[in-house]
Amino acid sequence: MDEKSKSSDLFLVILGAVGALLLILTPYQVPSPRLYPFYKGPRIFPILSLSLVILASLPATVRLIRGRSGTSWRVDGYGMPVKAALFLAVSVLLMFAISWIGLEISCFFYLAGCLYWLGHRSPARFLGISIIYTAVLVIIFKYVLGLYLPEPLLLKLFQ
Amino acid sequence: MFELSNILLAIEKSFTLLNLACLSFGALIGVIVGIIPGIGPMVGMVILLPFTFSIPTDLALSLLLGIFCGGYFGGAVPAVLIKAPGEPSSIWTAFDGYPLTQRGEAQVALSASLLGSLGGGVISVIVLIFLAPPLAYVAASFGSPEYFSASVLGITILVMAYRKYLAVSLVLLGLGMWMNCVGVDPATMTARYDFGLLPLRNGLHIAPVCLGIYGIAQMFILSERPILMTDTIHLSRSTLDFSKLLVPLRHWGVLIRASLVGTFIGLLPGPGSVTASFMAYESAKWGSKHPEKFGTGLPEGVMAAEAGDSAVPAGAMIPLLTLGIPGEAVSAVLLGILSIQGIYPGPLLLTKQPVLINEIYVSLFLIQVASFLMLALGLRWLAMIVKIPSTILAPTVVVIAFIGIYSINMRFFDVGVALVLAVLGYIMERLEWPAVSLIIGLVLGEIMEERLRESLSMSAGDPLIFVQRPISLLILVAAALVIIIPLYRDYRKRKNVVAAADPA
Repeated sequence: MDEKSKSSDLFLVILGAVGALLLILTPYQVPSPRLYPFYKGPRIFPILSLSLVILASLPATVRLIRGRSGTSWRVDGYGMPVKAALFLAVSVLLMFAISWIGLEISCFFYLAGCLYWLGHRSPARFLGISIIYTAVLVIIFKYVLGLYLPEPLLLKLFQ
Repeated sequence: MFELSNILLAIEKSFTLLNLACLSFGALIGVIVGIIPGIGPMVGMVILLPFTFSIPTDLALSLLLGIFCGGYFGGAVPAVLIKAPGEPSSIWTAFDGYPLTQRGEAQVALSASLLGSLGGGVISVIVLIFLAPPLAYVAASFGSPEYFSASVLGITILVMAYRKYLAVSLVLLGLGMWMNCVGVDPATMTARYDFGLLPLRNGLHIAPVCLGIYGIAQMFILSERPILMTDTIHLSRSTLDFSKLLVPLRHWGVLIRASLVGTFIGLLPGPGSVTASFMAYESAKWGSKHPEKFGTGLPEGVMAAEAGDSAVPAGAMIPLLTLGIPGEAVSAVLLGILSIQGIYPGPLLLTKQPVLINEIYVSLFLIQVASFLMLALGLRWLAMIVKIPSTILAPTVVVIAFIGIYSINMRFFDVGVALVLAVLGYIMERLEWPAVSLIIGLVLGEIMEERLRESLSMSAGDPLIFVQRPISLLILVAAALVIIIPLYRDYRKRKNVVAAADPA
């Protein structure tokens, strides 16, 4: 990464802002029992940690506000994270799909879809890998290790 | 600690079929993830992490240590064969390993790397066995203030190791320490930062955090960037040519020196395997009659680099077991495992759990041997793993990560947490931020908070307790020197650069 990256400063500022918000919310999110003095209580360490976050992000905040010559928004030259964002979205769908339609179907479609989208267009490849991998996972986790998974919600609706 | 009965019992437990299976399986997974560029032992460990919670501690440690150590063995294979380090620390291995392969001496290069890894691993375990007890003896006189100061020293060394990104490191450290505070405070039983969500009252489990930041985030990266692939892996035989081991073995002095360098670098929080491998490689160069030949294909260069990085796991175990301070992300994960199993590393661990400690030592030896044999006998098959496309790996690893995370507490909330942290991990990876700072903050945060509050309770809130106790003061002075000396050196370097540019 280019050391003089504004993107790095921006994310530092964002984290600093999150830290500041959490610090403001601390009295509401961390009840302090009257029995305990501050140094024994549950607030001391979060306050110290969040203060560290805020203080360490201050130089980046100043740099971003003042602007700095020779800096850019360039990160690493790999462009916008479109693929990663789509991958994330599909992964979030997988999380919900496992509880809605079950592990077997959701894993199979997730794998098949991802492999196809990532460039494995041969049906033997994207379907074959998906079927074999899903079968191995289901056998190992559900039947050998006895992993409990809730009944698919869609199935419950139809019962 | 060195009682024969404990040692014999540990050996007996280490040689049970289950333990041998766990460490062999761990070593195999480690070798595989080490061979694949872009994956590495950390990802392998975090993916199997959820599955270790339901097995006994000694087996869990054998499995995870197997991955940790096996990863360094595997990382050398693509470095030597196709100049693509499987593990970042194997980059120095490629400097001399790849030229050897180009000359048709791949077997010599691989022999040197495997011998280096084996030697580095074994020598570092021997150092661990003899160094841990005296360190534990010193640490036994530690109270809460000393432990807190030692934690401060640990994170100071870590932060200064990444001082090129000082602010980033501090922000991530603070964030990790705050993340530890989410959930019910064990001392006062008050819920902190749950935002009204019941699942958050259990806190942020280390497994979804690590899996999100290291595992799933890395898969997002892999989906974008194809890893170097090759259709040509040249190996004259499917196994290692054992006769070629005699070539690097002539340089046994280099092996010992590099292993010791790697062990002591591994002992320090922060530097890690890349620094260890580099320093070990440089130590071989300094001690050589022909340093100019390094980089042209010297077996001792390959051996030194691999000895350096393979010595790191046992080196990192020294402060972990004796002081409870992890030196880097992987040992932070091990600390998390031990805490979850109700075992708290520290000086008392060596006296309270001598059999477990001895079992760790024996298992570490066995892991080195297992990793060596696996690669020596299955060389060609394992080398072919480099050819697996990253676009196949990415979704398959995500699926298994999801199942693993879900299996911890049987809830999808943890999967959601992992995905949120995967976004953060992805951003950190793109920006080349040291994610290890966040993990260390999370793991050390629990210890630091407990020790801080205990210390302040002892002194009725007076923070001067940390400087009034001699050992604590000494440790804090060391921490201050760790900050001042490198910053002063950097300042002098910049001044010299400016002076050289402007002689007038």
